[in-house]
This record gives sequence, C-alpha cells and structure tokens, in this order.
Amino acid sequence: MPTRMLTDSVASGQEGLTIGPVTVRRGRKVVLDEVRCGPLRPGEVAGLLGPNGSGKSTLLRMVAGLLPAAGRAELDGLDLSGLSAARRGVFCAYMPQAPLPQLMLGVGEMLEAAARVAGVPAARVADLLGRLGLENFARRPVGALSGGQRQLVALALALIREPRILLLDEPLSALDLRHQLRVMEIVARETRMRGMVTIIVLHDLTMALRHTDHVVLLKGGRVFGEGVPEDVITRDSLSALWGVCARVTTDGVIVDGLADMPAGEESD
Amino acid sequence: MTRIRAGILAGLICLLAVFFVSDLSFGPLHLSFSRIATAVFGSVPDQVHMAIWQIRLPGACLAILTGFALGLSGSEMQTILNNPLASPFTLGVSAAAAFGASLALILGWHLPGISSAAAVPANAFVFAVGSALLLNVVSRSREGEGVVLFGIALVFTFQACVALLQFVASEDTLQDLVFWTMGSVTRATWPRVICLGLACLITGILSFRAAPALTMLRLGDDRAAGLGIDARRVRFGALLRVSVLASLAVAFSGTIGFVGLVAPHISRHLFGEDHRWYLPGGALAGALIMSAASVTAKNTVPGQVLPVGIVTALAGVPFFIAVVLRRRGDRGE
Repeated sequence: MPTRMLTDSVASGQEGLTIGPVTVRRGRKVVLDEVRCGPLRPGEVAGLLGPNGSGKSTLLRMVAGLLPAAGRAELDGLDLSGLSAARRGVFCAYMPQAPLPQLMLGVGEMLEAAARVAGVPAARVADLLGRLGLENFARRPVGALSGGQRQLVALALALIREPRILLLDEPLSALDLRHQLRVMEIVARETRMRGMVTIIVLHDLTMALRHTDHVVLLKGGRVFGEGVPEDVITRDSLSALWGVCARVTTDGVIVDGLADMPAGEESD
Repeated sequence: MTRIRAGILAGLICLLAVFFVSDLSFGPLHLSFSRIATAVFGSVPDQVHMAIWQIRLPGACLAILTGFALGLSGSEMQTILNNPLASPFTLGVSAAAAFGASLALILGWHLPGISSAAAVPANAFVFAVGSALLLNVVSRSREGEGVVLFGIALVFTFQACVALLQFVASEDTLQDLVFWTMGSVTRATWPRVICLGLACLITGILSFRAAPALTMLRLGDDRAAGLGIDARRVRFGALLRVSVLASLAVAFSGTIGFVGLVAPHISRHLFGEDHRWYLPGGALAGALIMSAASVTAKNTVPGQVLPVGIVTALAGVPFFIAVVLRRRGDRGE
C-alpha cells in the first residue's frame, strides 16, 4: 500500500477492515442481507460465529474476493472489491474450509511454489516453517501428513505472502484438541506480530471467548451482534442463535440443553 | 530430493536416446549403429544416407515430438480439469482436431486467409480450441465424472463426423484418411518436424513458467484464488497450449491414443506433483512411450510397419482400465 494512502486513511480514523454493505442472493434466497461490520482492528483476531447456514462462509468468501460485486470491503479506506485477483492476493489470504488435498507434493515444494507465484523470496519458506514449528515437515509429502498437520501446513500457505488480512474458514473443524489450541495460538501470535486483521469462522464458543478479541454474530444472513466476546456471547444470544440453554462463565460456555426456538427457525 | 529427480530425468533422457537410435536402426532394412553414424555424419550421398535423412530421422524425430506434445498436453489437462482420466484423446480434443483436419483433407475446406498447405493444422487447431473451451465451460459447472462423460460425448460426436466424411470421400483420399486416423509417423517430413519442434519448445517454456501457478491449482480453485491466483486465466492459458500441441500432433501424426493419458501418471509417480518436475517429466515420458511404440511398430509384423497409433492404443487400454479401477478403489466403491 502506498504510504500516503495509508497515512491519509489512518488520519481519517478508518484504520482496519470495514465490511459492508454486503448482499448476496442465491436464487430467491437472500444469503447475506445488507451485512455491515467492523472496523476490525489490525493485530486483532475477530471471530465470526453463527449457526449453520447463517452466511459465515459466504461473508468470508466475499472479503476474499471470491464473490465479485457482492459488496464492499475496505482496508484502511481502500476499497478491496475493485481489485484484481492478483492485487487482492497482496492484501488478503483465504484458507477454505476443505482440507488440503492429499497430494504427492512436498510441503516445502508447495510453499516455494506459492512464494514464486506471489513473487516473495523463497527464503521466507524456511523462516515460516520454523515459526510454525514445522521444520521437520519440509520434505514430507502433503498426502502423508495427518489431518492436524495438514491444517498447520495450510495455515503456513495462507501466511506465506504476509497478508494484511487473514481469512480462516473453520480451521479447527476435524482437529484434535491439541491441534486446535496450536492453530489458535499461531493465529493469535502471527496476527499480533504482523499487525494483521484476522477473521476466523468458529463453532467452539469457548474458543471464541478465550482466543478472539472481537466477535461478529450472524443469524439468517444478518448481523445479530458485534463487539468484545464477553459482551456478545451471552446467555440470551446463545439462546436466540443456537436455541440452547447455556451458562457463560469465566471458564467458558457450558451448555445445559436445548431451548425452545421460535417456530420456523429450525431450518436455518 | 532435487538430485534424485534430476537423476531420474537424466535416466529417462538416456533411455530416450537408446530408443531414438533403435528407431533409426530398425525398418525394412536393418542398419547397424556404425552404419547409421556414417550415414548421418558422412557426406557420401548413397541410398542409406538418403533413407536415413529423408525417412528415418524425420520419422524418429516426429515420434519423439508427438509424444512430447501429447505427454505435456495430457499433464496440463489432468491438472486444470483436476481429473486423472483427462487427456486430449479421452476428452475429445484429438477427435475434434481430427475432424477439422479431415475437413481440409477431404473437402478441401479451409479458413479464409489460410493457405491450403497450412489448412490441415489450422483446421485441426480451430476445432481443438473449440472443444477445449467447451470442456472448460463444462468443468466449471460439473465435477469429475461430468467432464469425462462430456468428453466421451465429444469423442463419439467427432468420430461420427469423421466417419461421415470418410463415407463421402473418394477412394484415394479414403485410403489416406484411414491410414492417418490410425496414427502414424511414417509420413514425416522435415517441415513438419520443425513446426512441431518449435511448438513444443515455445509451449514447453510457457508451461514451465506457469508451473508454480499450476501446482497451486492442484490445491483447489478456492485455495488458489484465496492466494491471489486468477484460476481462470491460468486454466485458459493451459487450454490454449493444450490445443496447439494436440492439434499439431494430430495434424502431423494422426490420432494417437493413450500417450497423453499414460505419460502424466508415470510422471506423477516418478516426480510427484511439483509441476516444475511433473510437466517436463510428463513430456519426456510421452516422448519415451512414442519412441518405444515406434520401435515396436517396426518389429511386430516382419517386413511391415504398423501404424504407431495401434501400438499405443493396445498398450494403453490395460493402463486406462487400471486407472479407472484404482479410482473406484480409492473411493471405497
């Protein structure tokens, strides 16, 4: 980003990522309806939460530039929606929900190819693998790694460009507890160290409460609530969004059972 | 890792050299290595010298270049369509090119502004590009099997069209056409060799430059796009290269099946999925298969040279079945 633009936008108080308005329709169904959120601050991890089908992944894909013309996303006042794929890749890295395919491709080779495409020095690969504790994986084929190890490698792939916005779609699903914590720790550390804006789609509310700085709740394609996790993840929001009776304590969220949901909302 | 791969690549090149020399030595008249060497490098313009320079050398070179073209285009197709059954032959690109070429051969039809000498490759190219673009459109809306089924439909359609042209062709042209649809390198000429050689060189360089982006495409479109890669552009460039290579291979050597399907699998097995190795490996494996097939074609029936397309098809079918069965096995069906 040109320095002048950066200083201008910071001076005008627009620092960070501001999303919206975003509207996405699939046939007659409105997947996202005038969604606005942010500004999400650099160095902060924002959790994107909501029940299945609430539009979390769609919103993330929109910010990543995979849904052109769906709406606006501004980084420090710069509109990202008009950028080409290559240019947007300089700012944004997106890690989809699907795991890395099991290929006969060395971890190091894969990251080097990504570095080459991005035009960043290949020396960054070794540094990145070291920071993520993956030094010993460089020569191993992606197809020979466990699910958790592959997810860490996928995270390395997203970080190779040192993006300013990191978008992670359910990176913890299908991981064991240890790998979940490892991924969250790495995400938090890299986000602070690099001053990135990170948006992470999560289902684990305790994880969101403990490891995110900001939370956006989505329901039926609209923003239900936004703010610091303690203010947003409450007994009432849990009941309204997921239809569960739960207690939010300093240790985390304890779910006691199902609550009644208003008629017609189950299908969401 | 790099050293091992470089070693394998060097081994393949040595093997190719052996097949190349064998290809020069076999034929209606068997020639020893020293006799070939004298004929190639000597200046005595005897009969052997003529046979080597006018028939065997262009034939052996065309076999290698055709294999290179089919191997490289098959490797790129399997990557951009994300399908291990993709190749110019199985998905109808070769059949489309054959139809375009037949139009020029039988009806004398050619594009405005194209000389009749260039009509065969030009027509082949236009139809190859058309079918490749259709495949691209279908691959965007349908996964895996949908593309293969559509490709098979293309194969049958264009084969039927070629058959229709054969039906109306005169007897002389028909013989030419039938021989050509079987796939053969015996009618090689130096201009053809040079033309295909240049095409292989240029597309080879462009493919190699696109190798990192193609490697990323193997990780899935979303992930590649999420890293700033314009998947559509990468795919379009690859399809153009595939069309050039497949159409020229078909125009000069006829329809030769299974080389483009088998070579990428060999390369993936030997070099993995890093496209800086996989693409050259696929091209080299293709060249090797074609050169070996050319040698086999000369040695199967005594005194006769079989069309090389028959050899590759017979050798390729069991491999094709193995790939299909393995795919089913992977999914636990």
